[in-house]
Amino acid sequence: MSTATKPKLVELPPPSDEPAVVRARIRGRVYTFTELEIGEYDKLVVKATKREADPETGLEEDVIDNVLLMRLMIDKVVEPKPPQEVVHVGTRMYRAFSRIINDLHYGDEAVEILSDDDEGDDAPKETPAGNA
Amino acid sequence: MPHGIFQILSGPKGRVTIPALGAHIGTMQQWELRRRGGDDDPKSGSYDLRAVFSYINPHLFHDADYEKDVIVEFGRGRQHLQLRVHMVDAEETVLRDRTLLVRGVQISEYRDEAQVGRTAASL
Repeated sequence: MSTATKPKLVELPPPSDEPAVVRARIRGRVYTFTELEIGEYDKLVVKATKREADPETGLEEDVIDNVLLMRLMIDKVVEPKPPQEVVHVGTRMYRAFSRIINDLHYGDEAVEILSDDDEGDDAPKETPAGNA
Repeated sequence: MPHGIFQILSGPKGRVTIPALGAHIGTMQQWELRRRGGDDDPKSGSYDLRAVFSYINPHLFHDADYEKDVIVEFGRGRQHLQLRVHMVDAEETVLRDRTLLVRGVQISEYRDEAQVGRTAASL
């Protein structure tokens, strides 16, 4: 009989309502990246949205400028601010910021799908006293 | 530099950018600078800017976190001139749909990097 434990499907972070935070050292400086609240993120999306005419139909439609969106996100998410304005950040450094911010905002949050039988956090916990 | 010479100056080309983001947020299709007051007027030297945009991003235009560059152009060839419109001390700024009115702006000559390079090469 195997003694190996069954691997968990997901590694869940500890319970928290706080935004996710990532710290990274880039070119000798430690930066903190804080996940945006969805309302704040929505505001940046609106700022990065242009109305452009579709070249085929001629009809105007909303188009998100993803380059501008990322620059706005870098400005809001990264602390401390890079020593230079976003537009003057080195390309490799900019890509490092983008990689972390993309993962922080568009990566999959680990979730555990519960079965109907699973009472989740409401399940009564066994305590030493309760087992006595 | 036409400062103090003209009463009204207008043209079809102008733009609004946010240099810190490298973002182009407005394209003018018509603009007008009108000088305020007479020569003895304390308001002399300031202007009212009226502009109509073919494209403007109102959300970033109104975002106080970012400094904007407002540049208008007129003339061609050797007469081509760009002016920077300083809105910092403006008395009033109204953007309605694609029409902008800014009262009490200052102006200065603006040279982009290409112009500065040409000037340096000609010396």
